[in-house]
Amino acid sequence: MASTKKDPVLVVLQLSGANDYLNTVVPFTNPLYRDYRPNLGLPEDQLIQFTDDLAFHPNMAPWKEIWDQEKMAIIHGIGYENSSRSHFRSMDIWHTCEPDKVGTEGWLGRVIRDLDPTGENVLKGVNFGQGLPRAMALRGVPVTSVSDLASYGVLTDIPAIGNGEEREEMLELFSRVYSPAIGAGAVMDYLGQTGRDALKGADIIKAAPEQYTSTIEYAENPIAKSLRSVAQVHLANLGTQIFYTQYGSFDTHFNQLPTHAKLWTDVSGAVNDFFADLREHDAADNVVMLVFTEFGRRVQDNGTGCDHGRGGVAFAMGDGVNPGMYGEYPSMKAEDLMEGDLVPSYDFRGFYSTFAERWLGLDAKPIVGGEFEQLNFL
Amino acid sequence: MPSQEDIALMAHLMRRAGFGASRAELEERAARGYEATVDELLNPGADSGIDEDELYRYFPQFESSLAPVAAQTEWVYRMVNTRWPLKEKMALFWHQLFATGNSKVDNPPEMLAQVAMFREEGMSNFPNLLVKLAQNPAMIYWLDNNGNHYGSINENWGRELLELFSMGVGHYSEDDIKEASRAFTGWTIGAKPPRQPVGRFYWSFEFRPEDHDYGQKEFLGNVGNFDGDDIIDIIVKQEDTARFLARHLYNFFVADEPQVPAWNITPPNDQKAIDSLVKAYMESGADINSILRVLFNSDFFKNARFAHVKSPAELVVSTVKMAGNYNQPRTGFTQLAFECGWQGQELMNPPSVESWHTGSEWIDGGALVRRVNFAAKLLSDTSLPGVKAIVAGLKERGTLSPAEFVRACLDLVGPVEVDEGTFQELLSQAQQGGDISWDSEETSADSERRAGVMLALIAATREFQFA
Amino acid sequence: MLTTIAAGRVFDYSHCIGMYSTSGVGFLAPMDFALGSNGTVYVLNRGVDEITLRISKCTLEHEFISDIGRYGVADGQFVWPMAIALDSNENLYVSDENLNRITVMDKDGQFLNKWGDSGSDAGQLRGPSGLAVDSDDNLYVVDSMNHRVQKFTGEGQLLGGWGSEGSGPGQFCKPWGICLDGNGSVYVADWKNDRVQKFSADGRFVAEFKETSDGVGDLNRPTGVAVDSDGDVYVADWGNHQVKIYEPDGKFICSLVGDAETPSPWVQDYIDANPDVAKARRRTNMEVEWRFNRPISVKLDDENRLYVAEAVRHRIQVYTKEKEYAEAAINL
Repeated sequence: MASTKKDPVLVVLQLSGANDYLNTVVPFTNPLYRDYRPNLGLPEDQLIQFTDDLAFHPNMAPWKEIWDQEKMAIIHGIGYENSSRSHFRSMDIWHTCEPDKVGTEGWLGRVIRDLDPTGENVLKGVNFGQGLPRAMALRGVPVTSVSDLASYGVLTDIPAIGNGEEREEMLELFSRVYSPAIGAGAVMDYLGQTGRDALKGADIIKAAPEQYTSTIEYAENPIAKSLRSVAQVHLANLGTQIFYTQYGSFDTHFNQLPTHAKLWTDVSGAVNDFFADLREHDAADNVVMLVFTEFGRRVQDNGTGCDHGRGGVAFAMGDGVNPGMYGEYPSMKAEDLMEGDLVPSYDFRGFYSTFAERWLGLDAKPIVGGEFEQLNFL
Repeated sequence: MPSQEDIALMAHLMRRAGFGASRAELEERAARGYEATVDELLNPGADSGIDEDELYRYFPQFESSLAPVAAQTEWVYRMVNTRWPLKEKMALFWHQLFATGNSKVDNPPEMLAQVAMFREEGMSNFPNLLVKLAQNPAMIYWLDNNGNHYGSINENWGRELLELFSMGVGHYSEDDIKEASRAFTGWTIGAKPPRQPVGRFYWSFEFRPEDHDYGQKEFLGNVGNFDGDDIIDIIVKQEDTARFLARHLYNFFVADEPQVPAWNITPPNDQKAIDSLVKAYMESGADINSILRVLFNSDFFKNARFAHVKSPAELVVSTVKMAGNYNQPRTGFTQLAFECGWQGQELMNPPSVESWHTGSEWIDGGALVRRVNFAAKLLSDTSLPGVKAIVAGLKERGTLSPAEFVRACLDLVGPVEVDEGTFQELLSQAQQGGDISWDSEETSADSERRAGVMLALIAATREFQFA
Repeated sequence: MLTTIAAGRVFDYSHCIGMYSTSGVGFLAPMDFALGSNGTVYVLNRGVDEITLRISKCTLEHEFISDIGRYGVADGQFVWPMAIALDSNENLYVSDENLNRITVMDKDGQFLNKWGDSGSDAGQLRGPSGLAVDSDDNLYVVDSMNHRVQKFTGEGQLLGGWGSEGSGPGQFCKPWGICLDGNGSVYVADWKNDRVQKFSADGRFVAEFKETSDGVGDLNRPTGVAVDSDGDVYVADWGNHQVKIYEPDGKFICSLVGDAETPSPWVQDYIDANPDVAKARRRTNMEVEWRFNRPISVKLDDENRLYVAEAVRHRIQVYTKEKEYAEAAINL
């Protein structure tokens, strides 16, 4: 369980583009799997079995380690009613918890607001990636979005200025021209405050990599880089409680076998390295990770890939997680499918609620917009 | 030779009625005159402003890709390179007003088709535009009018038409919404082949008489067997509609207003300006060009310099136009499209039908850092044609004292107006290097370098965030 | 319905190859293609920048072999590839109008060579587009933004060239595709002049294929051209979404508009795996899918079968040609 001294931290990893459930957690003993996947069925001798009838994708060995360490919960058949097969719509629903209308508030935006109601710490929520995910967007809640920790900040990556003394002078000047001026008006004042805050936030967060040392050698790929940045900021104790990052594209309509294999090599390796890194620094016990995707893919393959589907699989990981499997693998029988898709049996808002209440200690209802079944993985 | 004031005014006009212009274009236009330029802007050619054959030769993906970013990139290309800046700016205006999002429509080509409709019809008259909007497939899908049936109405379109697209909240009743919705039953989308697996096909508007409610309706005090066109006819005759549109035009082109939800309780910043636009609307029969003519030729417009926070699209497009390095087909337009999104305006994907919040709400910490870095990087790169031209303009002015140098840079990159405090800070920076001179290769190179740094600093100021 | 009969010839739709895809089986924004030995076909996909650009190597029997090349400036990479041609060893020549160079690869995609300097002097390139290889393995390169054709050895040594900007005989405006006939005559799709010009092997103007008196044979931004063994000339009429066919003397024969009523097997697999797509196809008239959308490149094989690549439909339609066709009696 989480130590009482340290604030709980949630790391959200989004698998963008809809990860294929069937080839991630493979029901290899089910003959229907072979029937539906004549071209994409994974060879049995390469699968990484972890229960009598389920196995991980061959490239997920690092996750089998996490499973064996009893630090992983697998949530079967996750989704929502009337699941949308549109990436954009479905991702929006996962981000806003609004399946019936176009929502503007992100569920993690609400989480951050409730964790830090006065918005004191601009680093309470940190996204690694380009642009802010809608999940973290909430008017008036400051969130930091970092595309690249090494080059984050004001007036970076500008050859004419460079990174030396001249830039330091420029930043001082920047700070002065963004200072309050009498009679400048509300908008100018707001811009000034925002500029100085950004400068301050960048200074703080940029110090994180400088203090960091580790024996863990992450792989060279974007998700490894992002999770390493998460580790660096977490280890710098800046009060960040919500981290967000994403990887993809898992949208494997075509050429799935090599693409999906590469993605899982990257993701499973990066996640395992991330937790090893935190453990090395004795900083793993207050961190859990939430892994989700917008929907699962079609049961029947289309020759070289598979198309948009419905029910999917999600994961929770970390020292504080009660390991095991939650829910049932949805039936693959023809009569149980909906237009060729697995039918979701568990609402993702219950999954979110579990993290919000049992991990972060918040009232989940206003965050996910209602009461949904929570699970005992936390 | 146009005066400094003429050029400053022309720069203002081109920032608002377009996406900015190079110094050379400003001088040329200023020489032709302000009203003549307004005239030109209001009378673009019938074409889209881009040689489409060339466009699709270099960017076949604009026609053939199904990805949202390809659609966004095509639009950014058009904003940067259009021959008809106001036409394109109006497309952006209507997109921001009639906010439709790919997050639900999930069909980038249809989104692009909607923008093309805004481009084609956006300077005609308001009733025509509203009818085209009501028949636009992306809009029908976005606001569920395909689910609005005879005997079983879906109010989404009827409600937003009144609340967000024409009259504004408080000027109609819930019954009016129901009656309007009845009038639009049967206005739907025709079936088309699915886009996968051989590429895009376009939706079309379809009227299904068997699904249309031909019965009598009572709408805003009028009674009749109204259909959608009749409803729009009634709407556009309301002065509330004129006021609502006037305030949107004012917010977009003149000066930032409070956000739309506050309009019911907060009066306009300049009631007289709104009144004059309303008058132009009522007198012209809701002719958009006539209203724009009044707007651009008014004193309230001319006096509103730097009273509007640039939207991300305005910032990105005007900066690359200034830098002059995207004025023909090349790689990298995709990055510009992404950049708009990263700064908070993902084109064709507003956060909701209530659109983006504008003005200072464009700015948060992350967006500000991006805006500053994006503009500073481009404008400090003295190898880019537009920046080269600015350096050449400095050189023409000969040896410059630090103060003259700062003023010249501010002039040539805008003209940008900064407050005294900012000016003093820029000056203190310039003073460190002393006078600017061009008398040897060495001093020229140093002066050029210093110009790059100064332009970066100007791009980083608060003032640069305004148009 | 799927047969066009004109001037004693029959053009019969046979089948099509391809589908929309971002990698592997299928194409994305094909610009050009080349027919290799043993039914191999190399399809040059412009893609969407970084991610989907590649040459798809597959067979006419719908077997996918490999993806060759990717986006970038390094050897063997492309930014804006325009055209592909094969020499007698089935080496691949690819023009890149962004990098102003020609890349040479072997048939497995191994990089062999690259050449080309940016500029307007003799031998330099600005926007190299269409490519054609002659019987001596020399390469004709349409140097589009220089409004000329240049001839090089396979190693890039300049042998000659002709053309300047304009609309007169032997002048060009942003020309694009090119082909050779059995006699070594050169045909150039003179894109912005809306015509095809025919030249002798050394560049002497012979004829042009342009408007007809009734207007039906007019070209709108032609991008590709091919000539069959009878001398009939096929033009990818990109702007009109048609293929126009002319007799050797320039007389217009007929237009093809696209007839892909039977989807390719790849497309069929996709439909079979997607019940909702199958339903969506049933609820509407699919005719619009049969028709050409941006036909961009035309080729012929030894049996005078016609292949038409479409940039917006990500496929190649195949037609057979029958000569001296006797019509059935009209009162059957």
